[in-house]
Amino acid sequence: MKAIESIKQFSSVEINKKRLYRRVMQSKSSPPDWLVSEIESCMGSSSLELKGIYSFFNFYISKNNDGLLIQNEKFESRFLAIKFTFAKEVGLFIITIGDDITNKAREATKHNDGLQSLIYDSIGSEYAESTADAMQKVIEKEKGYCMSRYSPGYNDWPITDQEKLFRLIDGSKIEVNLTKSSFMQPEKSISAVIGFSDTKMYGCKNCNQVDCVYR
Amino acid sequence: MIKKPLLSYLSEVELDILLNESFKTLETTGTYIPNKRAKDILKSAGAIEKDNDILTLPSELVKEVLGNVSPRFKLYDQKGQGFLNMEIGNTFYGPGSDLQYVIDMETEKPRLTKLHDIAKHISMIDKIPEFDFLMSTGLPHDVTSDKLYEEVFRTMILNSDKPMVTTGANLDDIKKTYEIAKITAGSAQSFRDRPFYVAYLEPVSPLKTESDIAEKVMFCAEKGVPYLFAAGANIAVQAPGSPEGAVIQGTAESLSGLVLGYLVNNDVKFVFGSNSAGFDGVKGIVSYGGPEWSKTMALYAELGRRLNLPVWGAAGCSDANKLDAQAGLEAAQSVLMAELCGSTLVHNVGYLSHGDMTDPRAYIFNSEIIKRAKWSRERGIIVPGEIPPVIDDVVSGRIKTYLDSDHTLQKFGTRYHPSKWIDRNLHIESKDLLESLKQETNGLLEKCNPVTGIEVTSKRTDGPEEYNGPIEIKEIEKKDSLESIFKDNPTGADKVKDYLQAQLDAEKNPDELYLDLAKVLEKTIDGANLVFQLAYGRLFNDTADIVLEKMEYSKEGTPLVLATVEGDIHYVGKNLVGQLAAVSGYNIVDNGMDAKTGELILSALDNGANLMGLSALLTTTRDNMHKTIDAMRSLSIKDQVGVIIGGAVIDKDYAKEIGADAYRRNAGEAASALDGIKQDFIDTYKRKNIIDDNFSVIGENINSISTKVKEAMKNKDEETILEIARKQIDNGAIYLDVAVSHLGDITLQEDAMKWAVMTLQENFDVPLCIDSDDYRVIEAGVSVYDSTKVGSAIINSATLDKDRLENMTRIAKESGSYIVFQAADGATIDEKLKITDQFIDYAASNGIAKDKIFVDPGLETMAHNQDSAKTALQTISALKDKHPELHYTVGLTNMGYGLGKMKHTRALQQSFLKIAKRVGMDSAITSPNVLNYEFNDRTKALSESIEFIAGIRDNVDYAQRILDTEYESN
Repeated sequence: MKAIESIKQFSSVEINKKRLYRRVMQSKSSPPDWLVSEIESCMGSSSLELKGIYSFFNFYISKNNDGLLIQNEKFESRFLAIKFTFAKEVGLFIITIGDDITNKAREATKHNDGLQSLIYDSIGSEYAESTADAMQKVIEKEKGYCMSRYSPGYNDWPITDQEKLFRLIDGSKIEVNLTKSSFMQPEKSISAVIGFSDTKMYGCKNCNQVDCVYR
Repeated sequence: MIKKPLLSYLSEVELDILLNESFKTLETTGTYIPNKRAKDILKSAGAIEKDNDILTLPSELVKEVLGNVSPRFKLYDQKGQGFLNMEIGNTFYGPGSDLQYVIDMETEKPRLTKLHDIAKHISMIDKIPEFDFLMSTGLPHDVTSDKLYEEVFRTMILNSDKPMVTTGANLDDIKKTYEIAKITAGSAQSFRDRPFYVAYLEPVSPLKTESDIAEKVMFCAEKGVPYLFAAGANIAVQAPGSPEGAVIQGTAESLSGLVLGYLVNNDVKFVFGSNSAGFDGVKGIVSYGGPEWSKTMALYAELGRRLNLPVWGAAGCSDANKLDAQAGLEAAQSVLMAELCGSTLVHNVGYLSHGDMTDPRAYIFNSEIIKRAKWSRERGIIVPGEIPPVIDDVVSGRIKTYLDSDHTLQKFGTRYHPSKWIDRNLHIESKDLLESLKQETNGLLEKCNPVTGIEVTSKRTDGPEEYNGPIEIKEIEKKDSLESIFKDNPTGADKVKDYLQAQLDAEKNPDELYLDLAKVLEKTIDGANLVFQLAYGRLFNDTADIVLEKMEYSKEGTPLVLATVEGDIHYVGKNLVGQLAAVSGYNIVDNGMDAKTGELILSALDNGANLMGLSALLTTTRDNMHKTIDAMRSLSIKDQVGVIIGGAVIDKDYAKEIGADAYRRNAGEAASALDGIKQDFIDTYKRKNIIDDNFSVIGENINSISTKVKEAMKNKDEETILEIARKQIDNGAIYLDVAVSHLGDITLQEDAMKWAVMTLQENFDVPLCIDSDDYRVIEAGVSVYDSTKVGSAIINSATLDKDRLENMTRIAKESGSYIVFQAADGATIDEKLKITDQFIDYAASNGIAKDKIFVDPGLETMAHNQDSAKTALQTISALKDKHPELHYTVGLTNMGYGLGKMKHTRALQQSFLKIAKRVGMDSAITSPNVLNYEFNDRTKALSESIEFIAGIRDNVDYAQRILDTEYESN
């Protein structure tokens, strides 16, 4: 049975400037004024097309605890199997911010402007993260509490499983496609699996790990 | 990029007024300076001896020195590893020096300081992170005055590695200190390169530089010892009665010390500022804890910012006679002032009793004050939209308290953590602060191992270098300030361009100017954050062009093929390597990102490159580096292409494992690594590579395998044969091959060969390649060939077959022809090498020189044997190493049979030839225009063909690809 896919357009998302600055500076120090104004001007000239597609699935933890089974695909990851033990259902989503920012970064590279290239690249990454956050909020509205999201290539989940994810959910409907090496095009896109549980698995009293450092 | 202070009193205009008053003081009142040598130096730069030993310094001179003196220097630790960046805006703390008394920790009463106290204090301060540098803390009463400063300095070195500020009574002390420093640093040069102390030199207020003090300044300047020139310009005693007035005088004094040092050595390392504390007329003391000194310190810091020099400061000191509430009040106020106004080198931390006494607990006490001040100075970033959702989460009840919020978990870590002896208990459990401090201090002292009375040894492991004598006194010259314009305008290409244009207009040598600019770039980005490296890299690119245009060799240089490997799209690091390597004289051939092995090799072939830089930032893509190196190895060109790799997922071991020639973590080091490895690869390339002028195409088209040629030969149809010949010659054939084996019996063949040779020689001045398996046909051709007309013919070919070998070599010897040896029979490379050696030996014994021999390693159809091209290349490469005098050739047409039609396999032939020329093949029997084909998508057609030859693509895939329109040629 093919799951129902929903498409969502976002007119805009807020990005976390502090994180953006850190990404550009690659350190915690504050950017100087001239850099802030260069970052602002790059942001002003970027056009965004924020879209996402998502769908919900039943799933099983595989027999040897080495992955998630969703329809006839298996996400090969012991890490996911453990993380999703308490989930009752999963969502898959793909978001993109379009390729304008990446093109601008490439254009800058072509003109040997490494700085602008880095700035555009960082802006793109931040918008992609924020769009994924926004997508997660949309899903959360429908399904209640979401657990953390995970993307192919994270931890032991191989990037090549991107293809399986794309077979389960049709990225091409929002114009996101995979290259032969399992990279998404446009580059600034995020695909992820996310779990839902009845109760929030957060906060110390919900957890039975009594010797945890956060207690 | 001067850091902004958080506290500022004066406007730019007021600052300029204040500064001008100091300039005026130096210009009109002048300074007393009786030292003869110092006077001569100052006078030769424009100072005027107004009165006996009183020199006035023209403002122009002072401003010129200020415009050229370095705004920053690095004050290293004694090991020469870490350093304090001495630059206005950075704030560092240290204790003071020369105190008479110390509070004894056992009796809690003041007593005279001893050398052991100094060892104790220094080893304690060594362990307190808030203290950045050392000063002596005390004046030991158990050491005789002639040895005093020497012994104190030694004790400091023995008990800590931190950078320091030193004092001394006379020139002799300064010299002794320097001698010990040389030992610690390993050599004079090592100290000069990485100095670890600042000499605290004191003129006498008002405006007196005694002879001995002038000598100290000149000594420090000569030896590269950083120094400060700070008097006790205390308000209303040694200086005018207002903070501003005292600062005007203190500034004039400090600058006089800078000017003298600068005239001795332009590379002087100087800390600006003076000490202007307040005077208490009732008690008759200079106050160390009053607010006056904090204020003058802030004024000096502001002036330092205006002058762009690191600044001397003082804080953390008190007039209180013990560590009490007054001590806390006064220390806290002054430390906060120092931090907020951004003084650079802040001393006197831990002083009590208006500069007479210290208490070991005061260092721990003040470390907490410093910590608080630093935390207060740190600015947060207010991000729009960050906080309201956090508040909303709690107010709406999604999260119970802020402690449960993700945001709190992320941000709470930045809160201020007090030291554990700070009392935040309920009143019934309150702790006595002094008692807690005492415990802390004793606890820390237990971990210390204070040492005195032994000799110092070198703390630096890098080898000593000889000191090359004192630096000669330089005349002041108008030095350009390219560096400051460049540094201060990261986005100001126009300003830098204007400067460069002005230099060019003034007929500055463009080569030198370019070098200057490159040096400034290197200096500016050395150790800087990546963002600044990129910003200045761009500034360089944007501005260097106007100089490059004027240079005779604009962008020539050793080619470097650069790329981020296939599948990877991280390019910033790679670009940075490119920018920096370009500065160092490399010609960057940038293949961008996601560059495939075939594309990289094609790029190296096209550009005659001997260097390749590969970057990868993903573990999943780094193996493509391996693939590229392996492919070059199997094509036998790796010994001509040095590979340097880099990227976050690369390390030394990986580089070694995949056979890369160099690895650098840091883009800035890539160019020097390339310099180090390139020569071998360039040498091999020069030895083996065949340039176009030395390459001979042997036109293959007069061959009786073609029906048209066969008929023409049978009918002696001159017109057809000549037409075919002309076409080949027009297309670049150097030799024409003539083959007649399909004509039938031997006499027909002999006859046809004779006819063809004569006909061609009558009409063209082109040497021939007489081609047959049968020596009788060859002999017939050679008998009518006139070598005097166009040079020797080529006889094609001999094998080790006895009859054929003997006759072919005989004919070659008799006619003086070249001879082709077919090494095609050997299946393996070793066998091919072996039979070639046998032939060479036989030929030599029959009088045929090596340079008359062509070796053909054989090239089979790749549809059946995909390794055949690799084998041919490896054979030629190995033979070329062994027998550089031989010629090498191959019949090119066969390789594409079975893969597709001839027109589809042209890319394969052209790619093979490009590689084969690089390994030393200097001719090929082929259709002459093979080198001139242009493809619809040259990069795709040739790079994929290269990958096929290297074995990365299989023949099923390749046979499919060559049908694509991209492979079509003209």
